[in-house]
Amino acid sequence: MKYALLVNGAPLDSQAARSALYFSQALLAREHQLLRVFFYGAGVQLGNGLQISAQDENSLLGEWQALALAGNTELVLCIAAAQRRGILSATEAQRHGKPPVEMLATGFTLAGLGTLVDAALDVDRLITFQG
Amino acid sequence: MHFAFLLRHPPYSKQHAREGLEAALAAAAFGQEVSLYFMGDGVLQLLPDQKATQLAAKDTSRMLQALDMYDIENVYVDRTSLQARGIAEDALAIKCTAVDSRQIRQQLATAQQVFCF
Repeated sequence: MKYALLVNGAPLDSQAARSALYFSQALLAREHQLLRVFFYGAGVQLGNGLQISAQDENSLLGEWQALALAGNTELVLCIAAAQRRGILSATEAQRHGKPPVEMLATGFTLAGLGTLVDAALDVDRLITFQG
Repeated sequence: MHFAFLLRHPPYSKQHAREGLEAALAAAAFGQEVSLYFMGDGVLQLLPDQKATQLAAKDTSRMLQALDMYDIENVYVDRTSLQARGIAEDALAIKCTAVDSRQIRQQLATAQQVFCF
């Protein structure tokens, strides 16, 4: 079956991104297809490449990046929700007159809500992970 | 396609209400049939006379006024959630149909996708 996920909850302050990751791993283990994960609301914080986890803690971001490679899954941050929360690519930062720092983590792209709608049209099931 | 949106958070303090409505409007703008279900504290989004400016917040009830423009006609509210909060069905800011949880379950079964906010 083809799946897409919508992740709305913040990565550290909610269980959303962790539960969504485990769900995604289970999908791949059963040979389902995971086309796209759309991070929206506070969920976009996962795509901040400048986050640093303590050495003795798992890197949620790293685990998502590995999953995306394994499943050929697109990781998309809602561009408007990301901007509101200060998560910009270097190009976007420059366009808004901010220092051109690349904040977007490797493997993530910024796109509009149309990408979420497209994913919902393309898959059998869209599952939301709320914060 | 028929997309259902469950809106279960109050209008302010978090962004769920605003971002949920924005996603619903986007789906409608992309030509999908959208139905909205206000449930739990989400029914508070339907209260009239909100003064969002006092919180320096975006008035989500204004977004509700725009539903017509996006051809979103199927707006439902969970009757039990209204009753639990002492809100009368005829005291809401926009026209919506009160339904019980059994009706909600039946209708969600007909939606191609369900989005939760």
